[in-house]
Amino acid sequence: MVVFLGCAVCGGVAMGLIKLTAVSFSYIPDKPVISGLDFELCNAERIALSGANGAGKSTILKIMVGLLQPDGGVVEAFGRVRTKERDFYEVRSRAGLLFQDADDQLFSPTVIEDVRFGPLNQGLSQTNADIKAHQALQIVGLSGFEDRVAHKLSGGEKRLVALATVLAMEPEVLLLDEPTAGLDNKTMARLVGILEDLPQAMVIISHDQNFLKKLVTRRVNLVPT
Amino acid sequence: MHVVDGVLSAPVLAIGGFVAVGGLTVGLKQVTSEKIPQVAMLSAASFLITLIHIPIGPSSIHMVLNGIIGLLMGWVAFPIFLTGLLLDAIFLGFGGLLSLGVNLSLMALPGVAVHYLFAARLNQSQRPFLWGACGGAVAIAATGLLAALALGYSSTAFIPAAKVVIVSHIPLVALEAFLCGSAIALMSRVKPELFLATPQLERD
Amino acid sequence: MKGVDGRVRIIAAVLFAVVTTACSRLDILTAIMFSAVLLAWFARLPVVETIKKLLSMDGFILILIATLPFTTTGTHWFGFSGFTASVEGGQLAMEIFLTANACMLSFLALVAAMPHPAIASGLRGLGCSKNLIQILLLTIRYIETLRLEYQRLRTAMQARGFQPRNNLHTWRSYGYLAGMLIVRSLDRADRVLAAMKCRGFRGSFPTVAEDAKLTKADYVFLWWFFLAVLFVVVWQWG
Ligand SMILES: Nc1ncnc2c1ncn2[C@@H]1O[C@H](COP(=O)(O)OP(=O)(O)OP(=O)(O)O)[C@@H](O)[C@H]1O
Ligand SMILES: [Mg+2]
Repeated sequence: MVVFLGCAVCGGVAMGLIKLTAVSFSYIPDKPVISGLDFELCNAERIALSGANGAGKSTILKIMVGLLQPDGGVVEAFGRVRTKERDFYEVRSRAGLLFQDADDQLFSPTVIEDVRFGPLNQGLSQTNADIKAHQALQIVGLSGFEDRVAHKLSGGEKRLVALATVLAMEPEVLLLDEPTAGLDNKTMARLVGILEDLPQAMVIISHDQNFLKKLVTRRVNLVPT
Repeated sequence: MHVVDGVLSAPVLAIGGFVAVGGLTVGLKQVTSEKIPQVAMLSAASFLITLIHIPIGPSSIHMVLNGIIGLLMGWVAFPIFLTGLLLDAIFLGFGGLLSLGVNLSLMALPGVAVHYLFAARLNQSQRPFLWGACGGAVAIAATGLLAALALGYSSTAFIPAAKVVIVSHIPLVALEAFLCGSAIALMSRVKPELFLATPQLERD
Repeated sequence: MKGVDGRVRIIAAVLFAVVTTACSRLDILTAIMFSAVLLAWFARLPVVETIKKLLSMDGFILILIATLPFTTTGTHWFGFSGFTASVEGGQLAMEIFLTANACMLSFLALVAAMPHPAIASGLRGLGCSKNLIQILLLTIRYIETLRLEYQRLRTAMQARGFQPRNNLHTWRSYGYLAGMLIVRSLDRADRVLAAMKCRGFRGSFPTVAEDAKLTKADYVFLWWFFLAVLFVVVWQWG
């Protein structure tokens, strides 16, 4: 898959938050999922990343935060080239990834424990972590859900709590992998409202054109070679 | 395998506790924090799988699974089955506190043995069914024998019951072998990286 | 009993099991069984569900209890068609029955009735390995998620006409089902670990919540419990 995705908005003038240059990746040797990918996310951009099922969208987000190591190419984030696992520690707290399945993300017994897990890892004290957690829950409109058991929430609530766990770390970039999957129209409208009000730059994967239309500033399409 | 409190004698309980603590120490040493999710998911999966009733003849049984867990995880079978037994006790009211060590040893020790016997043979083998079946059969047969020993050694009055345990284990061994063989055959097809050259499940 | 600390309740359950197992007199065991019922009542265990659990546990000792009267030699109790039961065997069977049920009932009341996180923090307070506690918490968290996954696989099989029978096809299908569940749980473990890394996990879980100090209620409970234990000890061995 070869795509060229220069940043039309900033044209290299504004700060590039995340930049991939000639990145290629394969799960199985000799069967590349991505090859020669260029991509740039700039300040205040909301990019829709689209492409067929299996085109490699989720894979790209994982490469951005270092969950997968590319076979070739350069990953730059927040002004530095990142290669080793250690380099990505900082990236992961500045670029929050929302997973395709919220159940993967909510692993603590209660909602509050889950939301403050990130802030605690960032070295905050328990009190400050709790404050961050409450704020994040307030942003997604789930104040009062603190002591709910995470796995007994509805699918939509799980998704919003997962978003809160990401927001609690106060990232500069949001990477959202199909945030609308399984949401009803009402919850989806709510999610659009929440995301519209957030200042962060975003990369959004979604097959829902309606949802994307309301949010994004630029579209990037992965085309098979 | 669940031996309840009040059956086994103090020396047997002590031996079981001793083996369990030893096995747990070795097992937990291999559980780096990166592996915690894996161990937890396997505990949850094996707890669920043992709840599935499988018809055999006029009755039904459930899988014990210590062969598969042993093949995959070696000594880590100890923490996995400890979690399973705790859940059995908490959710279902099976087992007992004092017999926990014995019950854990009965399940996990055969798993470890099977790991040393067959895991290396299974890796990259063209016959995953065969080695999976061997693992399953040997593990559950050993569990049955150990259970009978624990009973018989506790009191001579239990020897007849111990014999019943052994006899009733024979069909279980055959079925567990077939089920484990099928399960391992499937796993080696859909996730061959589980059975690569390294003898123990190790991924980064 | 709801306010009693997790550590105290776990210790009490162990002590209960030790004393009960050591007791051999049927009258004392009956009294202990009665106190286990009391504990269950204090803990507000659901009656029907609890009885079901006890009965299913009794299934495990059925063989033992049924054979003991006939395999133990002693004073003639009753007999039929060549088998004779002895009084001593009957007593032994009764002893095992009472011990097992009292231990399990007290465990259900003292430990299992707690919310699961409280059990975990109780175990941690008693010095249980931290990794083990994390494993336990994660396991409890994902049982329901994996059960739904199992249900989906099961429904998919049924939708294609699968019916459990006594044949190789059935058993192979169950083997595949188990294998598939294990594969899926390992895949999920990978994703959960990835999610944890994304939130700054670098190999150690942040510790929160120091253990609370024991309260007055804990001490009152402990004293009552010790008194009861002492009473039983004196009765049996005094
Ligand atoms: N763990 C894996 N091992 C092997 N191959 C994988 C793995 N994960 C993904 N793939 C393959 O890599 C390709 C890209 O997968 P990816 O999940 O990135 O696609 P996607 O664009 O997110 O698709 P979707 O829209 O369905 O979510 C697919 O062909 C998939 O089969
Ligand atoms: Mg995807």
